[in-house]
Amino acid sequence: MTEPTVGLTEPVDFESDVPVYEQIGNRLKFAVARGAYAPGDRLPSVRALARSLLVNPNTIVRVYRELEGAGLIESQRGRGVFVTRAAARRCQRERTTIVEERLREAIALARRAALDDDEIEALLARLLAEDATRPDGGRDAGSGDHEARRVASDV
Amino acid sequence: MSDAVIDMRGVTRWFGREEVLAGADLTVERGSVTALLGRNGCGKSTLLRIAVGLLGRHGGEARVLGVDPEALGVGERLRMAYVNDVTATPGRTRIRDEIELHARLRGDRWDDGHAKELLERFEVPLDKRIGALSKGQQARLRLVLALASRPELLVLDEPALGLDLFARHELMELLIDLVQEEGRTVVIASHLIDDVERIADRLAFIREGRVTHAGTLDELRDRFRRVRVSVEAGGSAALDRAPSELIGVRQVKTDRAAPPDERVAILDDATDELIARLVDLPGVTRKIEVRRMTIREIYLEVLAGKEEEVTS
Repeated sequence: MTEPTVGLTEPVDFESDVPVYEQIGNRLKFAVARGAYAPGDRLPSVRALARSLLVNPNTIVRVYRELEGAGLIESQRGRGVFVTRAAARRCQRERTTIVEERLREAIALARRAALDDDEIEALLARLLAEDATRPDGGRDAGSGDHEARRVASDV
Repeated sequence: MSDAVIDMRGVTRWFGREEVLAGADLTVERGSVTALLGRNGCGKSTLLRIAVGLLGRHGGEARVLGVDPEALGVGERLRMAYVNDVTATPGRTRIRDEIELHARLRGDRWDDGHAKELLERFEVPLDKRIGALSKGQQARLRLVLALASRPELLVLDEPALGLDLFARHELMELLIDLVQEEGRTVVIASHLIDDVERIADRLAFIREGRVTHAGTLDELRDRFRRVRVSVEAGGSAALDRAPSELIGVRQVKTDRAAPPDERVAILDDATDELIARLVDLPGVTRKIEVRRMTIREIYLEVLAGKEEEVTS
């Protein structure tokens, strides 16, 4: 089976505070945002995605239902689930929100660790520089903890 | 009303003078994978055996596929399959013959093609005798026999005992496939939390013969939270009284690895309001962290007690 599962098949983090359906939903949004799925592309079937992530299929059903409710995908009876025309721009917007949220958490962590603004900025600058020297150039960001590592292999 | 495949209310069961089930409630919705979690001897297996009609109950109500499990007909029995960790077949029986027997028993519901595929996937050798199989191979054979009739209701009691990681992986994939088919329902009792949280969408915790907590994984994780707070010197008295005064605060404890002014409150019915009231208690200065508990943490929290050690 050669269904496209770009950026979706890294292990889900069951210990994370982020619910599993939300982790998977975020991955799909990121995949759409970076163009891995274009408008009109078909997403993996519920079964294929459930099997490759090894999660309950009802979880995937929920992910797809919520994405459909948000107008990002549409299901066509008997044919599958497809990315909508409006999805790319919306996912790009949402990607920013999700990354913002992560950075906010990181800043909160830094504050708890009693780092000051200069130290946080220096740290970020160093990490960005390090990332830029990686073979893939650190082009893309991802959802969740695994995303950044994964992107290198599936972009 | 919900579309329940199993519906049990206040079920009791005694073995001699021991009350193994003390009023257990269990609802299993069509199309769900419901996992029963509990320590050894908590009554999981008894509840499942009552549900499929292998054992009578002494009190309470029970329905499976719409009928009383003590009055199951052939029709209902053909629609369900039950697997536990025992192979109740004479060891001299050849596997080929055992399969043939089950195929005949299941009649039209037996899917020969599916059976072949399952035998291959689970690497069950056809020409051996059952007594010559390893424990893991016997477990896989039992699963093949149960799955080959594509049962509407599959009840698994510790199906993964003796299975290696490959076979467990196959089992999970098969269960995913099974649930994907319209109306297929799975109930599974297992100690393997990591597998269970992947494959189950609903959990029921059983303790001392009762189902103490049940719900979807997300419902349970939303209800159970750890709130880390810091307390002023001498201000922990109000916090220590919280479990008896605030409904939903289960316990307040000290985290040995944390600084001495930090305490952890475990909530088992967390709402924003409750968290706010907790943090507003006199002497509690601020909340440091609120997070959903993991299923593993909930398991340890809900099932901790003086019962025997969990062995698997």
